[in-house]
Amino acid sequence: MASYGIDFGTTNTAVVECLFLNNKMSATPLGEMNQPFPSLIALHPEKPSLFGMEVKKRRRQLKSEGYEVISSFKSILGNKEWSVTVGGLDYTAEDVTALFLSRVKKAVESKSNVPMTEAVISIPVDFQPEQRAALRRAALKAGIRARSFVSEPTAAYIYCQKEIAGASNVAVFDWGGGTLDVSILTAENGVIQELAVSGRRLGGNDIDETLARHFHARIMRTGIPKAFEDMTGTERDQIINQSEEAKKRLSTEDFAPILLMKYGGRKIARESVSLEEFQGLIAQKVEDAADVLRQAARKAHITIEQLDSILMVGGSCEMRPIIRRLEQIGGSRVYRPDNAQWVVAGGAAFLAEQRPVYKLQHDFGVLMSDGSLYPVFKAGQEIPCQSPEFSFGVVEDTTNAVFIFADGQKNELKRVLLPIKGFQYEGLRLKAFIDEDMIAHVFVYQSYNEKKGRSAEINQLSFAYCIE
Amino acid sequence: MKSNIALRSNVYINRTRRKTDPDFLAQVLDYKVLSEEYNERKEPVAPLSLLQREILRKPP
Repeated sequence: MASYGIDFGTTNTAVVECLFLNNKMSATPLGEMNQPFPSLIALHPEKPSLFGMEVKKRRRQLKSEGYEVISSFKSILGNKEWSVTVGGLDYTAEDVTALFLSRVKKAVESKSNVPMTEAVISIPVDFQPEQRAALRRAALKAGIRARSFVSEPTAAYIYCQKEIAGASNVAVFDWGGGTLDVSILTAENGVIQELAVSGRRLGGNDIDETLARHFHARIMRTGIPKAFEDMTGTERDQIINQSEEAKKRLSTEDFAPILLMKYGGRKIARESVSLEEFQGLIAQKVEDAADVLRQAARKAHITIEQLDSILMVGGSCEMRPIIRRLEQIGGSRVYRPDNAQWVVAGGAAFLAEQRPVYKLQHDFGVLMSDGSLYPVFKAGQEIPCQSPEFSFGVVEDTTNAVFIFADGQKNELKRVLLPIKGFQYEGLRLKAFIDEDMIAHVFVYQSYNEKKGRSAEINQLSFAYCIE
Repeated sequence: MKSNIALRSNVYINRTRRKTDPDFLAQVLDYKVLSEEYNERKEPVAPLSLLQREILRKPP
């Protein structure tokens, strides 16, 4: 039975089908035109919705045809205030995501024999509890049960762990269409821990536009000049799509021509770019990307020299200028898997097929008045799990019981204040559970009035993936 | 009664759920409770810490 992994990205969404048979794993990328699905939806008051590549290729034209083109809905998931009205219908970010995932599911199932009824979905390290819950609901509405979530860098590491075996400090340099995220992981004895994350809104789409503006300026050297912004939606779609193709071509060739039809008053416009020109055009962006790697290392309190491996994933890591730059920084420690854009989804699919046990990596509990930690859950506890009911008292005469939740290193994760009336020997109850989304839910209340309790959600816990 | 919001933890586990839980009582910092427990009882259930002795010496 095959399993699916979904890398639901801000700009592109990759799906990989994984099958483990006779001790051999096969991974099949599923997308559109050998590319991940662009994370785009176009809604129209009267016409059926469009998604993915069709929207990407004609997004500016579609706007002029009355479509509402929605992008980056991942970043607004869980934001209850965001909605868009099309044809008298209100769509929340969750609705848009559900619609998009349902179209992805349909497209995947048209290529695979196995229905995509469940999947492991990768998420950013800092994806908040409400975002995870909204994504789970959206997936379910689309007919996909999120079996579990996995952080994007961890998924990338899992997919490549054979190739970078022995590396304990790993930087996952994930450069996609819209964002760059660099995570520093440590991996020891099969336990993966995320130490630091750094990111920037900079991706392949910005590079495409830079290249498009370069081509546009060259075309406009002759005849009547026209500003890039003044071009029609169709014209801009055309030049940006051609620029993207040229960029891809430069990942394997030293020269890329483009051909534009009916562009800026010209019947035909031919242009080209060499690898060296391209490198010059995006030099600053490449340097900015390299800075994000340095920032992440600083946050993790390690030097670039202490990194054992720099794992390059995401579609934008196919560009030779960034490969060259990272190789200057990291030398032979840079590892670039084939099909970098499918790696995160591949790791998620691997986890879906292997069905690992998730275990809490550190104790999680309440910091008490003497500074000690009372563990509500102990390291090694399998997820999901539920605590018994604990009873606490306050050690002073006060109007608020202060519950401070912390990890095994006593790092404060959340503070919950429970209003009380003076000193109490006991009767302050605490219950907690960690759900399948790896979110700890804590609830404190007085024994005689559960309704007036206080609850909180905590998502900064670390987990180990144990494959039996 | 203090009305300010305490900035540090002021809770402690009471495993037995009883007034006489010795581990809990060893952490109590409230004068009234301490004086009831230690000045009025013949045999207190937990020995006083230095901090608790200090609190008992200086009534609010």
